[in-house]
Amino acid sequence: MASARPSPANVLLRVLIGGVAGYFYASLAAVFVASVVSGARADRVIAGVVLAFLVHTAVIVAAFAARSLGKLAAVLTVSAAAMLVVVRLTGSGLA
Amino acid sequence: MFGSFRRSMAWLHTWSGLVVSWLLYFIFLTGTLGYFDVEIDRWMKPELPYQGELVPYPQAIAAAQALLDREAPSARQWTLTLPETRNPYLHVEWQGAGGAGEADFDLAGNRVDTRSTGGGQWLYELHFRLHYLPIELAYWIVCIVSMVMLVALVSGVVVHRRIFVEFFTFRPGKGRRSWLDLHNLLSVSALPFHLMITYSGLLFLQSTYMPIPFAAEYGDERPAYEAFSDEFFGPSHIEPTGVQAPAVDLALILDHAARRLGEDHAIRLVTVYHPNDAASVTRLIRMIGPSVARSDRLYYATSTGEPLDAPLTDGFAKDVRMALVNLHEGLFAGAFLRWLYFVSGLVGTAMIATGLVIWAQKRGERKRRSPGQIRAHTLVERLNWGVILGLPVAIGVYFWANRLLPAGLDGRASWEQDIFFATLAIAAAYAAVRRPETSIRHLLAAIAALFGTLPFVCEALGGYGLASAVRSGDGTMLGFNLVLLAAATIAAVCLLRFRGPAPIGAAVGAET
Repeated sequence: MASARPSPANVLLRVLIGGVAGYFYASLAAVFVASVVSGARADRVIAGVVLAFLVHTAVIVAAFAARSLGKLAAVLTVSAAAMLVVVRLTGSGLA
Repeated sequence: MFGSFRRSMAWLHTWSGLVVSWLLYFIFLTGTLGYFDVEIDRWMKPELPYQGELVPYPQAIAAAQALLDREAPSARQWTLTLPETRNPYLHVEWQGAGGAGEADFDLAGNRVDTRSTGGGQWLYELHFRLHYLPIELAYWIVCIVSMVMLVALVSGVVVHRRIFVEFFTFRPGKGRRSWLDLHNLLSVSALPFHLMITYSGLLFLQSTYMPIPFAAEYGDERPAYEAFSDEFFGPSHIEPTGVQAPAVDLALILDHAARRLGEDHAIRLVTVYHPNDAASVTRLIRMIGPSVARSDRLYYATSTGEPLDAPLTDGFAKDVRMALVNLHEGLFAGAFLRWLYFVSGLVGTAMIATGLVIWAQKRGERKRRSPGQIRAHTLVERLNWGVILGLPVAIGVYFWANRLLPAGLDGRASWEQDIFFATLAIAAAYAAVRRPETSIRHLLAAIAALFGTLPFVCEALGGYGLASAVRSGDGTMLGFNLVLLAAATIAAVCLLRFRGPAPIGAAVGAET
């Protein structure tokens, strides 16, 4: 059975999580990938950016598919924190 | 969000596609025309004589360099677009504190005075630079729209899970059901192209959309992307020394490059940074050859003609990125593949247009709507048609303006561009105030008239019409005129078959 139509506030929240938080999450994912793969500096950055667009798409899709935004936010926060720790340990400029 | 993943994706597909659809349609159509930008350029400069064969052109290079030395000796940059089969002319541009300019040469080295025009290059650049906007803002808008398009495509794949069935399903004459079938057919038939073109489009503007990874890696040594770009593509951000050192003959550099590469006509673009300065560097970009993952560049010291070692980044990610952006541009494509690109682009454009029509029809069938909602829906539905049909009208008027504006008009290219946007605005405004069945007919008639008459009358308006193309055996211009006639024919057939908007409630079956 179909659920009720989402409220505008709910939609706005999902747009913010998918669009804005997802954007920063994807950027962090790019930095994370650039810091863990091996190779020339420019190649590592490109590897991160190439994947980051896919990550951003996935987060947007997840934001609109998730039943519980709280759980999604928790997953994003924990994984972002984990990526930040790795980035910091590898000594990237962001850290 | 709606209890099931598929329903959530259906909602996301509808709304993500809708909110940016007018701009997406604009980007897709102008980008599609970009696959024939060189041919459109030629048509819009009828002063260029027809040259059937590509012959050696050292005199043209020498004449171009003499002009550049005379007109812009201390320019920031000279750019020479070398003759190739599609465009057998030498085109030069210069930019610097003293201003910018351009000139065309035939292969014998004679400068050809062409009319000032935005040409096909402007139409092509519209799809990522837009117009009347600061360039950074335009890039951001295009990036966001592209990301939304990518989301719409991914969610669309989830929604249309019966892809194989939908590819073979089209039921004409059934109102919205037919539009939906057509939308599905168009989406599925060129799905790999749509995914590739959208994703690779984002990669083009990577540094605008994702500056954080560049800043994180390169810090604030200098603008992060400049540092990255010099490492990735080779040096292009050269600091002039202020010490004068005349450039060597560029033909010598090209000769040397031809020997290194083992083939003639292997270079497509020559860029000279800070010519006549001791630090000047000349960059040669090779035609894209057998591998789309490569875009070879050679560097020379301009004052000595000595080749420079440019330690470029090599790696898997670079190859992936270069392959995708080369696939996006399609510069490597021969005639058949170029046509395939063009048709796929038109299919994508039609996919967006049919999506707009379906949305408007679905909203129109809703029973419980306030007067305000009805007014808003009516306006959006009318503007949909204003954009869908107004853009081809604007392109037709742009072509006509190219032929009708006086050759010596100040700011002629800008006039063409302003006329293009004024036409688009007028078409949208006209569609907004008339009933759709009236505006659709009139706009279709305008498209048929604008494109259908041009191949015959432009003979008297400068040249490159249908008759002269046949007489001279100029296949490129013949093809261009036939495309104009095909566009007119399609518009005329749509006009003759158009029977007004689909009856409300005609649609049955699955929703998107």
